[in-house]
Amino acid sequence: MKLRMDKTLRFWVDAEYGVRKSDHPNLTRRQLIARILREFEGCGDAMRCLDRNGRIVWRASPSCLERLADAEREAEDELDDRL
Amino acid sequence: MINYSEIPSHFWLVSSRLKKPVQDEVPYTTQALRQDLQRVQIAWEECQETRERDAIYTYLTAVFGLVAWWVADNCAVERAQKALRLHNLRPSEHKEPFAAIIRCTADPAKVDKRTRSKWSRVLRYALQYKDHSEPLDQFIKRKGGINRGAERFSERTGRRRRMNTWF
Repeated sequence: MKLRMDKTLRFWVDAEYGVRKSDHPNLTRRQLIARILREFEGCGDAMRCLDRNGRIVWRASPSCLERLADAEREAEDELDDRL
Repeated sequence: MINYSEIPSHFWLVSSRLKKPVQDEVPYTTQALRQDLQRVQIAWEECQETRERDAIYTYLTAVFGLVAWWVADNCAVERAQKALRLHNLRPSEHKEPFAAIIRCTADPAKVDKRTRSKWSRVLRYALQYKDHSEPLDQFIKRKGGINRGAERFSERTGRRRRMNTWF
């Protein structure tokens, strides 16, 4: 079954995959992504739900999105201060 | 002719429109379950902080969203029981997943057994008849509200309450 993810989560999972893939040469891409998703879910950054077609999909959790939005705001403020 | 009164309540959970169980290959850990329950509990707290009339739908949507994907994963009953055990509650007293999750996440001083039963019935009704693309609050309102939705479920299952004043 395909691991369907929203854009935000896909971005962070891909980034994590890039960091870890050399440490796990025996795992397929799919296996490593499954492991990353399990970890993200366990720490509350990812969650599963049903999409409009009733399929199980993965998405970034509300708390994760909130943290990302905070980080973005902070970065913007920092940039404003520098200019 | 199907005699709905003979069908156990968990039928509605294991025989949803998603006939084929779709197993996800990422194991659902206890830690993940705790995170999911915490999110629903936050939805409860948020809906308690506002006086808006429709605030309860935020909470019911969170409960529904969680149980709906468990149902699609064909593990709703066992995960709900595990959730109860994590909260030191006896699974035998709350066999139905929606009621179990409400018991785990809402303040029992504010949500008594009858309310829990009513919410659980309206959510089971939505699980059975709501299109996945329709928001839960919109569906329930379209069906006449929470009380009417719960009644509709009871009518469908043939479990009519003896006293209408219950609702």
